[in-house]
Amino acid sequence: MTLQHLFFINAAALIFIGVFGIITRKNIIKILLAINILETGVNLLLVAIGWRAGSFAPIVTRVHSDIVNFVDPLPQAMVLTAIVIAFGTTAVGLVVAINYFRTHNSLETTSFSGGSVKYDEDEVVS
Amino acid sequence: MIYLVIVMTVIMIVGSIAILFQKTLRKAALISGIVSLMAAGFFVLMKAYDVAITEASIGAMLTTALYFFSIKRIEEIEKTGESETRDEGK
Amino acid sequence: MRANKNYVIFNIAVLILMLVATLYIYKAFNSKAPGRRIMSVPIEKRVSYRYITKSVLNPTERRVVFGETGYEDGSANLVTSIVVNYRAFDTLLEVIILFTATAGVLFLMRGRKRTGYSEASLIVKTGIPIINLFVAVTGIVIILQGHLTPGGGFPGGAVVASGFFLSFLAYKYKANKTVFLILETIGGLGIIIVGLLGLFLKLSFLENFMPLGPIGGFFSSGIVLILYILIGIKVSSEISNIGIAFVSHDEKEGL
Repeated sequence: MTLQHLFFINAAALIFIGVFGIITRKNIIKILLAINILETGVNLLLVAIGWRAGSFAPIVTRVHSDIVNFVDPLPQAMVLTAIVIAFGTTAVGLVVAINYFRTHNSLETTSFSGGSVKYDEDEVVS
Repeated sequence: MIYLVIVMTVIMIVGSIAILFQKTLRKAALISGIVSLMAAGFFVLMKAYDVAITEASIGAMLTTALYFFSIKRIEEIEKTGESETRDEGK
Repeated sequence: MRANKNYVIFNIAVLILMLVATLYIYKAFNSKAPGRRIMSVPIEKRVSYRYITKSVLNPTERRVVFGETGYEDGSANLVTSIVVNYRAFDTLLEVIILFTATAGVLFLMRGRKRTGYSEASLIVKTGIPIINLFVAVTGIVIILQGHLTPGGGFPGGAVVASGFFLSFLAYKYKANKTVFLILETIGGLGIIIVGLLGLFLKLSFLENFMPLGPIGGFFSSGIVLILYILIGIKVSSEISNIGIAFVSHDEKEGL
């Protein structure tokens, strides 16, 4: 059970929990939170691929100069972009949730067809 | 070092499961902020300092703030009974 | 109660299905066929080796030494040189995505007025200007030192925007959207104009046309500082616009 195996297990578990939450939850804010967990897991997986044991951070300083033993800097550049995009989609998703509450007066996705089935777990907003 | 990683992993996984099964929405947004902070800690341990400061500032700060703003907005709409005043055609 | 039992069965069925999927992914991840393992390639054969030794156009084995000149790109932070110099086009497209998200938020909240707000307390009103000083200084330092230390335009812009969020919450702020829209336009047009200057003075769009300095100095790396300042202005004004759409309570919101 090396350190890299732990990083991969962590990222895979977060992706698993995120996909499970998107499929089985009914509250819109819970679905958006599950999308956020999924994106966090994917970013962790991308950075964990480029990590090697015993390397240094990819910044050339006075101490770490004239070496090639850096962590892979290319996945980190991609993850920088992915984090900002995740924030953008969360903002648009929350505005869609507010508009949904205005028209339907309920945050559940099952009230779309006028359904009157009441589940046991009704979540309160506060 | 490996014990720190094990503790952070357990916090993240238990926190993610707790987000999905919470009854109160504000608690779920708060735990999501904690999971984002643990992810930023992981990025520091993987020696990716650029990604860590970006995740800490955008994921932990701004996303949690947006969730709290929108929950407050939804509560105000619920209290006033009907939808807010809207100007058509402006 | 019949609906409740169906819901629990659905949850368990999804759980079993995803466990089966995880088993298949685990088998594919540990396969011993040649070329299947992701990390089996050593770093000398990856693309990022050329970014680390800063010699993409004519690949040599030269290593980067602190304080010397004569490389293709002069910034000490390798991730910055990838994001802004070698792959600057991807960063331009990412800035366009953020602009589209802000336009979507402002469009979907058109013509609404917020009715049931409450005023902030005295502690918040007197403490916010003192906190905003430190927040602004931290944000500007993170933006300006993107090529020497970790940071850059994106987290620095988010920190400056959080300062604006605090002032929206504290005061009865007649949030003037026009100022932030003008700042965002200046940032966006500036990036494209700098790219077109690179096209006219040298051969390709967004190429580095300013002289480079020694690695580790403040004015090394030419165009990276200008691009990060413009990106910082744009990201901070966009996030402040999103904050205005959620929080402001005095005039009609939207475009």
